[in-house]
Amino acid sequence: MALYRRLRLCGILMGLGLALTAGAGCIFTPRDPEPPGQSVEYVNDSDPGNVVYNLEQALLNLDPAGYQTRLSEDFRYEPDSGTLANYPGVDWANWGYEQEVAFIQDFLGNVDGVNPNLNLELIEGDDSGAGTEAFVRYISAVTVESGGGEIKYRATVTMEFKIDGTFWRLSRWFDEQGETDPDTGALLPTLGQRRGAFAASGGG
Amino acid sequence: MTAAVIRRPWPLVLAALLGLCLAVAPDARAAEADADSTAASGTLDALLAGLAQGDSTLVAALLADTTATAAGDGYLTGWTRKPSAVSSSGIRSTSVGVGFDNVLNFRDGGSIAQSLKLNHEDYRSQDKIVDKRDFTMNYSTSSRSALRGGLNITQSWSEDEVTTTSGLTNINKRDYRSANANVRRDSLSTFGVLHDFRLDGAVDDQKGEQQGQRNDISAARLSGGLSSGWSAAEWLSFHTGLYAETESGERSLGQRTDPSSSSGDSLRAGMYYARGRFAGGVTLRYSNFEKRYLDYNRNSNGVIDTVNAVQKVVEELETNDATTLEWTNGLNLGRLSLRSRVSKDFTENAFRRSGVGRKERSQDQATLDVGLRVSRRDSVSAGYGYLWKWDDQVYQGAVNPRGKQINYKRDLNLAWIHDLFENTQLRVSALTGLTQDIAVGEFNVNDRDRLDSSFNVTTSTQWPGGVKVDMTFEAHRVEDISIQSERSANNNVKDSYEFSPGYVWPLAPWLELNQVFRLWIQYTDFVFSEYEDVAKVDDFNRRGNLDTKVSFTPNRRLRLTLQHNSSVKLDGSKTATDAAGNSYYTNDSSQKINKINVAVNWKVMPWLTLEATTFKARDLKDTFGTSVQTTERYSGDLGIGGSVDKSFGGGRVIKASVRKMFAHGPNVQEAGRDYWDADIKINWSF
Repeated sequence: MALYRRLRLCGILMGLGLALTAGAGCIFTPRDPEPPGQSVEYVNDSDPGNVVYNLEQALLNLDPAGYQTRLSEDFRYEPDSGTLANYPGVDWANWGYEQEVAFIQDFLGNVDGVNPNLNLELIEGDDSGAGTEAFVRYISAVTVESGGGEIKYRATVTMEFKIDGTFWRLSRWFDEQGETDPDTGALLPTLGQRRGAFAASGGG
Repeated sequence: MTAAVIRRPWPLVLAALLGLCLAVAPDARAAEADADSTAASGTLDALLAGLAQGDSTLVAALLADTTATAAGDGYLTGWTRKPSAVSSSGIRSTSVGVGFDNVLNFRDGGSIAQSLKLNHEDYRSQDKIVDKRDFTMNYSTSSRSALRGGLNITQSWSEDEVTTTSGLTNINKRDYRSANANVRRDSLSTFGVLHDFRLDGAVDDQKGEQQGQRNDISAARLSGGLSSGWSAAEWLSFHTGLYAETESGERSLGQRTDPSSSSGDSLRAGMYYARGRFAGGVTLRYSNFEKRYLDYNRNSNGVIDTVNAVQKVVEELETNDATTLEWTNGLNLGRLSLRSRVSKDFTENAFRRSGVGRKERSQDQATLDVGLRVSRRDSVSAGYGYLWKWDDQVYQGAVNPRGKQINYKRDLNLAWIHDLFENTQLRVSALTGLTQDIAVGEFNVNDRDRLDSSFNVTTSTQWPGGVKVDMTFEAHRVEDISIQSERSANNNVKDSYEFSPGYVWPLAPWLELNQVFRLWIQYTDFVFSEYEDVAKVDDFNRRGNLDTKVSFTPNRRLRLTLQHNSSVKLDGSKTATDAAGNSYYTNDSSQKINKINVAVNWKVMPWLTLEATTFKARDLKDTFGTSVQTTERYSGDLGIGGSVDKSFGGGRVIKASVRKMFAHGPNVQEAGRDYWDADIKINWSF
């Protein structure tokens, strides 16, 4: 009889434990995940170097939203002299955030692929995140795949960054000049040519 | 705090240490009353003055003089000298070293201990030589005195020279000197409150060079602590602790030299009780520090990042504030016991130059454990754990935080222990725990959950004859769930089952048999494997192990061990699932590993032991694909050697071991195929 009582007590306690476990099930339920989708992995924009990395990721993965996120609201773009000469009718003085967002959406939506290397070579500047504003001069190279062919762009670019409250953002992109292709020696255009063509066709 | 630059602190510090030493040496003041002590303390003064002047000849002469005093029954009551020599040779390096230790004991209980060690190490597989010299001297006053003191002098010198395969030589040098003095007073009573007090002063001086970059430190440090306790009642007591530290000096990093300083303090207050069925306490701790120092430019993760930084070395100011509140309680109600712990921690850490900026961390933690002795043969227990912690960060130059990174954990465990019958116990346990990483803000790709559940049944038997039998069954499920779409393709559920019986059977006093069998299978189910873009295939891994060990010990001098390890591994992938939900798998690979170990240990004489070990292994692996690929690998080694552990009269000890190793197999490098492993150590105390 004593054995029966002990077993019953143990049964009750184990049942209580299992009921506790089941009752607590709601606090041991994982969250519902999102189905696999966009696989672009950005890093936090904690310094200008990371912003440049994220811009490359956005171009590489044809993700205009990712590119837009890295732009400061007072972003401005300045073209090189070749682009100015080719597209004199474009209102370059007022090329800001909205124009850049419109351009990048059109650009990434109409190419087959982009292979960017924005910080191919550091000429001068500090992208380590010291201070609250930064400027760097890079040799940038971008190869665009479109219509079964490749178009190369290469330029000396000045980029300026600043902290937008929480994160670093790109506030200025200045294409200083086109650079020669190290393989062929030919002078390559800047990405400003793409912007000019887009604006001239009525975009922006 | 203004940083005071100390360029050559040694004379100043040694003079201070000398003064402190004289102040705390109680018998030094009684010198007039004791002629022997007069001579001894005079010798001690001269010894310390010699140290202060860096005159090693004088110190040696004084030590010799003190030895002469020891011959009588004066202040010096004992002097132990211990020279030693060490030689070591192994697969990695060969080294030789010598040491010399001295301990002087004084009549009042005080002592001086000195140690000198020199070591030279030459690496076999790379062009690397490391030389080290370490010297320490310690003086402590009598432990019988209420007021105690001590001083320590340390010098540690090392040079590490490495020549890379490309011919580049890197030299790392470090010459570190430190002097430390301390005074301590315990159990000082004022108005019923007991106090312990401690004051420490130290000077550190380092001349360093690392890959051509200077790394020098020169600093003086002062710290003090006071802890107090008051018993308000037999069951209630209060304790407080106050500690403060300040440091000032200068630091050189690369080409730059700047003042460095730090200051910090901490306060601890607690109330502790033990009355009737309750026992526990509440503790509050608060600490903070402020440090100024030269540092390399660091990014937002605190990692050195000087690649594109204009200013590679920066003058850093780091501040830290931390608060902890904790309550622990225990309640005993006969067969029922409850234990609980609740704590809250908050820390703020800020940098003036590092990209880390300002970081805040918070942690709330609670645990509750309940145990019940149901009957003489049954007991049950349950435990619940809760952890909520987060960190947030305002990057350098930003005004808004990036968003909290939250870590939320809770787990529940249940256990039932039952004496099945005599010498046999059954343990049933279940555990479930959920860990969540929750990122608030823009960067939430790290959002993930991990649910870990297990059910375990174990029986263990231990008969009086020494026979032990254990049997375990465990079912285990782990769900790894990434919440965001960027990483959810890898979401998976792993179910594993394990069955592992084992026993130890002493067949005779000289023969023992030990066998363990383990069967384990794990199925991995990728949650989104049916998605077109997800290249994940469900799979299984099966493992079987049988380890057998036979130990012969025919007498106290001979031991022989035979061991066989057999392992089978099968890996496969899911190929299809039918309409009824049955899954079909195909084998991807099959691997069988067999290993035999033999070890003999023979104590020829009490001080001489001969040893021999060998193993032979065969690894056969079939990989199934369009065709079957088979790899068969053999490996093994043989080691023969002996060891000597002999003591002679007069405190002389010699320890040596020599071992010749031969090895072969696919993972054996050239240096490991044939080498000697030898260690010799000689000590002599007199």
